[in-house]
Parts: sequence; C-alpha cells; structure tokens
Amino acid sequence: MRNHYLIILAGLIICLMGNHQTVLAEEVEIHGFISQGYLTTNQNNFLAETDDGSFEFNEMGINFTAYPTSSLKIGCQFFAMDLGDVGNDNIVVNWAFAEYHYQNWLGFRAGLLKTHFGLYNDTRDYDSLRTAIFLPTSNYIELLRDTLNTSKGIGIFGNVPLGPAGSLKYQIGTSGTQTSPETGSAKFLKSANGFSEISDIVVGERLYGIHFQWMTPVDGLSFGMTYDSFDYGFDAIKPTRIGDVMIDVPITFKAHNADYLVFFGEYIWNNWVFAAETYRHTEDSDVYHGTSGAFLQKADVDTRESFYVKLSYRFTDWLETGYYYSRFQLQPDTDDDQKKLKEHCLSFRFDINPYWLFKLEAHLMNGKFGVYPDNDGHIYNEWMLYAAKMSFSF
Amino acid sequence: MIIVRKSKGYVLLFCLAIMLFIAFDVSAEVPIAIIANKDVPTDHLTAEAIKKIFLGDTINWEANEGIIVVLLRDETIHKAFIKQYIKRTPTQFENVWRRNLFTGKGARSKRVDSIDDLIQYVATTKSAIGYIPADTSLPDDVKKISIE
Repeated sequence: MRNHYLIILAGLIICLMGNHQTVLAEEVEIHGFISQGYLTTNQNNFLAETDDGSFEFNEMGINFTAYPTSSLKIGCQFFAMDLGDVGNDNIVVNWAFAEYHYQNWLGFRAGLLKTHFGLYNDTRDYDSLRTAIFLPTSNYIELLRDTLNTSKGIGIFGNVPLGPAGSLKYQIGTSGTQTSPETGSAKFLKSANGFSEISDIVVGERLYGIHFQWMTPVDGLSFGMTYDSFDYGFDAIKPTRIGDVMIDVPITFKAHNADYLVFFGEYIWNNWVFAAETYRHTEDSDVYHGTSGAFLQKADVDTRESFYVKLSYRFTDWLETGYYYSRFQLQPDTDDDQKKLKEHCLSFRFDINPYWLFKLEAHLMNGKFGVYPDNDGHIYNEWMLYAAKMSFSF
Repeated sequence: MIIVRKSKGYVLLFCLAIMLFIAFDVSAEVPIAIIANKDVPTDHLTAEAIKKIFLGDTINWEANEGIIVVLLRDETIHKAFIKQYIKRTPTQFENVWRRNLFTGKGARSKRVDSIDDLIQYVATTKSAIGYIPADTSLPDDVKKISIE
C-alpha cells in the first residue's frame, strides 16, 4: 500500500519540480491530484472507523493524454483511493480511452470510460471540482462509487445546437464492468441483503446508458436526465435460520431489468450555483441455489428513491461555502430507519492557491442506512459526521 | 439603546458582506481581445460563440480541426477575460477545464505563463485561440477575431 502511495507521490513531485503542467514530451500532457482527509463522528461508525476518527480517507491519481491528431485524443489515468476498508490504495486504471471528434455534434469514444450518472458522477474523484467534500449521499452513495465509476465499452457524444432553444449535450453508450469482492459495492450488497460472503459482481451482460443535458437559452441554466439499464449477478453465502439452527446457504443472485433514472437541474448565476437531482433505482432479482442451480425465490424488489437540493456561493477568490439537504430511501414504502438516511451538510472551501485547497464540513445525519455501531456497540438514529480534507492538483 | 446596537450589528454585517463582494471583484478592467492562428477558418465570432469555445462546449472549428484553447496564468488578464466574455467566476471557469483534464473528455486546452508565450503558441499552433490585452501588437501569423 505504501509503495503505491510513493509511486504516485513521486510522479506528482517530478511534475511539480518541472514547474509546468506539461512534461516529458510536448504532446503528452500529465496532470494529477492527491488528497488526504480526516473523518470523525460523534456517534456510530460511518464509511470508516470514524468513532475514534480516521485518516483512512484519501484519493490520488495521475493521467496522461496525447493528441495524435487535432481531433483524436488518447489517454489514461491511474487512480487509488482509501475509504475505511474500501480501496486500500490499490492502484486501478480509472479511465483509458480514445476519443475522436468528428463534429461538434458527434464524437466517438472507446475503452474504459467514466460513467455518466447525473451531474457529478464522472467528476466525483476530484475534490477540487466541488464545494463539499462528500457529494450528497442520496444520489452518490460512496460504497457504490467503484461500480459506478467506470465501465468498458463504446459511446457516442456531442453537443447539438437547438437554435433559440439553446443546445443539447448527449452521451449514449453500451458497456460492462466487473467488481471484485473487496470493493465498496460488494460491501453495500452484503449490508443491504445480509450476505456473509460475496464473489465478483459481474455487471453488464446487457448494459446501456443515455445521458442528456439541455443547455437552456437562459445563461447557466440546464436540465437533464440519465437512464442506465443493466443486468448484474454474483455468488454469495447467505446465513439462513432453519428452525433453531443458522446454516450458510450458497446462492447465485441474478438481477434483471435493473435501471437507474436520474433527473437533474443546475443553475449557475453570478457567484451562486444551485443544483438538484432525483434518483430512482429499481430491479427484479432471482435467487438460485449456488450448487444445485435450483430456483429458490424472487428477491425483494430493490427500489431506491432519493433526491437532494444544494447551493453554493463563492465569496472571494479563497472562500466558498455550500449547503445541501439530501434524502436517501431504500424501499420507499417502509419506515425502517435502517433503510433511510437524511443529511444536512454545511461546507467551507478555502483555496490557498490554484493548486492547493482545504475543506471543512459538518453533516447532521438522521437514519441508519450504511451506518455501523459505534465502538461500544450502540447505534444511533441522529448523529453528526465531520470531515476535513486537503487536496493538491496540477 | 437596544435598537441602536442591533442596527450597528446589521450595518457591520452589511459592510462585511460588501467587503467580501469587493474582495471578489478585483479584476481590473483591462480591455481584452480574442486572437487566433491565421489558419483558423473564421475572422468573426459572436460573443456567444466565444463563450461556448472557452467553456468547452464547441470543440471543433467548422473544418473539423479540434480547437485548442490557450489560457493565461497571469491572473489580472485572465480574470479580465473571464469577466468580459465568460460571465462566470474564475473558479467556475477553472472547473470546466479541470473537469476535462481529469475525466479525459472534451475540449483541449493549453496553459501558458505570459502574453508573449501565448502569442507564440497561437502563432505556431494551427487551430489555437486565446486572449490578450487589446493594445498588444501581433505578428503576421496571428489574427484578431472581431466580435459580431
């Protein structure tokens, strides 16, 4: 883990010593970022061992981009993160693709692509691009970040002028991905379904997605939607009570017709940025016996309904503040605290210089979804999360 | 007496708010001109077209050449350009390009240290576009873009 840290840090230092954003070769651009955060909660554990405070909260990446022709771009990014027991600073290829611009209204991409999902999913790894440390939990569940981050496939994109009605940005693609049992997504599924073990999660025997953003004639105002449809499956062990005895039952889980539907709007007006998103996920799932293959049952329909509203204001070159309210609800027809999480978040961002920033924020939380008991074994419905983070980028 | 104290508090808060606005709005009113490589297939652009190019929404010239947006590190000129043409805060503008850099998507940009470097880069790079103080003299292989 430490070696990975050092490799990326060495890359950052070499580039910074050069005092330029472009090194090595004139046509290869290198950019990178590194951030280190601290998390603590007054009660419960959330995302890491936060009851006693945790520094297991960092991200780093370095990317390389070349332009063989003026319309063709090829690049890749290496990325590592740690958030509690997720990530553990293992280096992954975060994106690697070729992009060809045929016209403003049509371009092509192929490779390992950043996934579009609402307004900010494709930029969630980059702390310097937003006011808050955490994106709203309602739409941007931290544990699902690895699965939603990238997928292998192809896509088309463009910006279609609509005359007096503004313009329409679009991205359409088909792809697939595979997530290992050590990832946050596996942890999320184990937590949501009561599995004790889980195998690789294979996503995308059938996966396609469309993303539209209408840039209205009102300067800074846009609306859009994302729709993703996919299948996924995995093997797992589910502890099951039979009479007075708990036994481990091997199962194969297959989700069909899973889809994400996101609607969003954003308004940039002078020093203000307003944004809101809604998110709905539904799926049908079948459970089979892991060894015999016999059909066991239809799983509960997994439905998530969530939304957030946020605003931010830039006071000076060095100070920005933001607030959001977000509400996550798993299976909306239940009133179980374990299946919901509401949060109010107040953030302060201090830009020390264009390459170095510091953030502080507080979250007032209500709910227990994704929450673990504190170090004394108690779990509370109302609690606070505090976060601090320092980031560098070039 | 209480009312007077409250009023003083409000006045103080108002003054602080005004100071914060003033602290933000420090960019000098330097007239800015848009320049491009002489091979760029246009001599005129609308203010809206310039904004779309510098916000990365337009990524190709008409002849399908990918646009290269050249940005200055000089804060005074850079902020004056953003104020006159883009109508965003410098951070909002910066985020557009950082988004492209870190996701690998979208338009291409190049950042240079000085006005001389910018002119030199635009002169030698087909399809490059940038901005400079309006009273700067230009070599033959760089042209000023007139605003329609």
